[in-house]
Amino acid sequence: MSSDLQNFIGLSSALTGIPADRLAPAIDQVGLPPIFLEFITPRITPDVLNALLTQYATMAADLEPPDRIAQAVLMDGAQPATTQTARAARSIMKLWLLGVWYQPYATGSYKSTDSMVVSDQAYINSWAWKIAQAHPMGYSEMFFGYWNTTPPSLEDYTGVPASGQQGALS
Amino acid sequence: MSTEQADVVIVGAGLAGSIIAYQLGMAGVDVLVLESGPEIPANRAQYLERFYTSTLKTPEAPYPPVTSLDTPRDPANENAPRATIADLILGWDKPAISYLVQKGPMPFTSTYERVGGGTTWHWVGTCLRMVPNDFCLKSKYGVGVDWPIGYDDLQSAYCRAEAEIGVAANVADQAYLGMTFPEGYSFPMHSIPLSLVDGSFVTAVTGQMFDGLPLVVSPTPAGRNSQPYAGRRVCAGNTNCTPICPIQAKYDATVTMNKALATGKVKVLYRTVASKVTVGADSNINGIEFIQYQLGDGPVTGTGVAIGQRYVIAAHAIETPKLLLNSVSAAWPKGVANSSGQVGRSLADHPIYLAWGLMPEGKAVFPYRGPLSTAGIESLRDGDFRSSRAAWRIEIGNEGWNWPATDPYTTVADFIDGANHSQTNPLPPALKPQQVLYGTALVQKLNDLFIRQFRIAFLVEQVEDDPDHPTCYIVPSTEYKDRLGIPRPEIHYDLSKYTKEGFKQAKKLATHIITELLGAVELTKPLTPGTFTYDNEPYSFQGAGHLMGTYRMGDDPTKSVVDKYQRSWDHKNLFLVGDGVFPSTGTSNPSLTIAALSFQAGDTLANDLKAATVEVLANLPWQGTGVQINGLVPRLARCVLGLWCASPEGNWVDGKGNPNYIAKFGYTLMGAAEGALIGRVGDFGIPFLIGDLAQIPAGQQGELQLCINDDLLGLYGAGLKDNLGALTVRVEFGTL
Repeated sequence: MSSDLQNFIGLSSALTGIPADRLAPAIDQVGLPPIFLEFITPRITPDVLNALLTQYATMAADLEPPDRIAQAVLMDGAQPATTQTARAARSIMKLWLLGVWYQPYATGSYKSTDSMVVSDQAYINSWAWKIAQAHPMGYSEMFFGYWNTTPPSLEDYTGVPASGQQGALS
Repeated sequence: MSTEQADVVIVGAGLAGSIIAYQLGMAGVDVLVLESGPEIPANRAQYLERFYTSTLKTPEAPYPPVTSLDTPRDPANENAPRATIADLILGWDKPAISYLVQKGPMPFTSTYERVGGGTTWHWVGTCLRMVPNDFCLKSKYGVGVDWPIGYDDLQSAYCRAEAEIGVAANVADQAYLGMTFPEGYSFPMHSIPLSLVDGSFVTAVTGQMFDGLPLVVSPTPAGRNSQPYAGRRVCAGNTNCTPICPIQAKYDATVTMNKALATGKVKVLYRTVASKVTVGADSNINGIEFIQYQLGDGPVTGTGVAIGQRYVIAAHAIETPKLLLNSVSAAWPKGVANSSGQVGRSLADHPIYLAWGLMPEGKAVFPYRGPLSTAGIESLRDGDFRSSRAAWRIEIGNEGWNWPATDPYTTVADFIDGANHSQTNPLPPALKPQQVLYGTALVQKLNDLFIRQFRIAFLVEQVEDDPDHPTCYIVPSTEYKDRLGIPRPEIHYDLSKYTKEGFKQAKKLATHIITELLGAVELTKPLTPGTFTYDNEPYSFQGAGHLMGTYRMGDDPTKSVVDKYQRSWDHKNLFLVGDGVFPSTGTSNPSLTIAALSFQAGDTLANDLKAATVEVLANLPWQGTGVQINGLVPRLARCVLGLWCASPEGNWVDGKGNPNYIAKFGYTLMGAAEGALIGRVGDFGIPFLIGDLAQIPAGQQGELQLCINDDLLGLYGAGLKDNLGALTVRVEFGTL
């Protein structure tokens, strides 16, 4: 039996396309997955979370490919599904990519217009910047003049090869 | 009520105030600085953390008081409120939200900080000089207002400002449109490398023309370290100059203020808001009243008055006139320094025409890397067209669509939600379908878009159609106050036809560059709230954060507020500094010119208080002046009066001496004219020629000594014994 955390990481990977071992590296100094899981639980409600994780675990056990799982969670035919699970899933995707939690629907004291950066680390480690083959604005680990040269490839940054590979070869 | 005393009282601990405080501190002048906001933090960790965790990453995001879209603040409940982007989003024309009480017809869209270090916390670091014709717009092109000084008058001050800020640039790249540099001059640091975005513009525009002028991409001179400088690190390309450089590789005024404090002569009172300038019977300023608080929205904790011999208001183009106009009295019913009626008038910015696009498929430029901007097209900052329309410079951005579209946030959300706020889902001209993506397809799509994004910003010169009757001005609100009870700034803002025509040409060139020269897809669209229609076309403008005008310098006391020394025409012991003194805006980001002018104002103040006048006799050898040279502050020796002669046969001469007699071995300074004024620093200093005016060589410490250039030892006759006369010499602060 997979734990909630493992299912959350697997689900997040299927939704975002970022490999699970990049979202949750074996040696993880930051440890965002458990922080995110704990953060979202009251905000999407334990019931919706449970439904999402169960849907993921069931399909993963059936060896469904990640895109099929994501499609099942997110889509209603060619349109984005409007279920709570789908809306929660889209917020989870944005959380990983941007470090920002956009409250998907009102529940308890949470309003559907709420948004917040979960933490400085959530921002610094958000994936949109890596997808841009760059770094979060305000957090560079590069050296003077790097902007004058081509960056490493998208695959180096994210584990996902670019559609038309651009960037320095790894 | 407490009383604070110093030789000089400065209002504002930003760029201008810090430079003047430092100059005066080094000159041995006691300085008191009143700063409305909180102190300079010991490190920037707290500001940085606030930036990281802010959902609204505006220029103001790191700084107090906190701004957000969730809980609009009420500026009536804040002690030192300031203009913010959140105000513009939530209600620029609603005084319950916006600190600036905006009366329109257009919104004023620039913002600023009220904290120790001022708005240099979030400047981009651009250090362009003004071009020579910027100083003579009226006489050269028949529009706007001339400055009372020219480019050459600022040359040495620009060099000092570049040294203090630490500017990275190469002279060869910057000597355009008539800009010159002293012979042998080099900037403190080599230029910042161009970005890949810049490179694509170099390829696209080189050899192209607009309006009969060439399009040339120039590396931007930047107050940003390209090598270790002044104990600060090299730029690591955080792409975050605005709102905050995480590592202080970019200069900010806290650098200079900390040096000012280290002189031991400068004291800063933080959370201390200047509320009224008072005038004595002799028309001199005799005090600045202030109000103190401890918490941004807490109660008043004290009041007082700061008293000095000289007063400097360095609170930029909105807070300075607000203070002056709030200082009305029976004797000064128009407010302080305002006999011309020009205080608060001619408020200006560099309204920005922002354009953006997506490079062709396969043409990646990799934005979101490097400093926010590393190059611009500067070749169109001057030309004959200025008789009919505003000039501009073009800043090339390295931060993708972060500015125009708040990316990466908008595009990410578009492809997750199936929306199209970014105009990329789908790209025009298609209107649908809107894709919903997930998994690796999402990553690949976003990557393909992000790495092709670019934007350019035209900083448009703002010129009033009738500078004597400006349509842009600030007055104190009669209705709205801050928590301290101080009337808030009421802003009236509009763009002239001349300025709008500049926008029209900017739009034309932007589209030409984007679609034809780069072959890119243009996505520019008007953005609220700064919108207008001109010649039936919609436009929008962004604030540059360049607050200028409102207490301009000039030659005519009836049409200007300060003279060319930035001294009030009405009150001889009052100086108004910062870009409020700019009679015209030019197109260069103003900070470098603010810094240069601040060095000049510092010299004038130091000379008012500490210049020494001494008499030098012809018949005595080296004579001490009592003036200690510290080797740090630039000093001048100037012959102001008198004649002397070095021998009965020689003529009576001034400090230049007699050029027909060249001094021989044994004279004070061999090779110079006999009878010339010679100086040295300390008993063993190397003699140098002063003549009638000279810079005292830098880097030497000791007492300044002076002497006539003559046969000191009597090797050739009577030596000094038969000499007659004396010179009066003034030892000043400043540079040639």
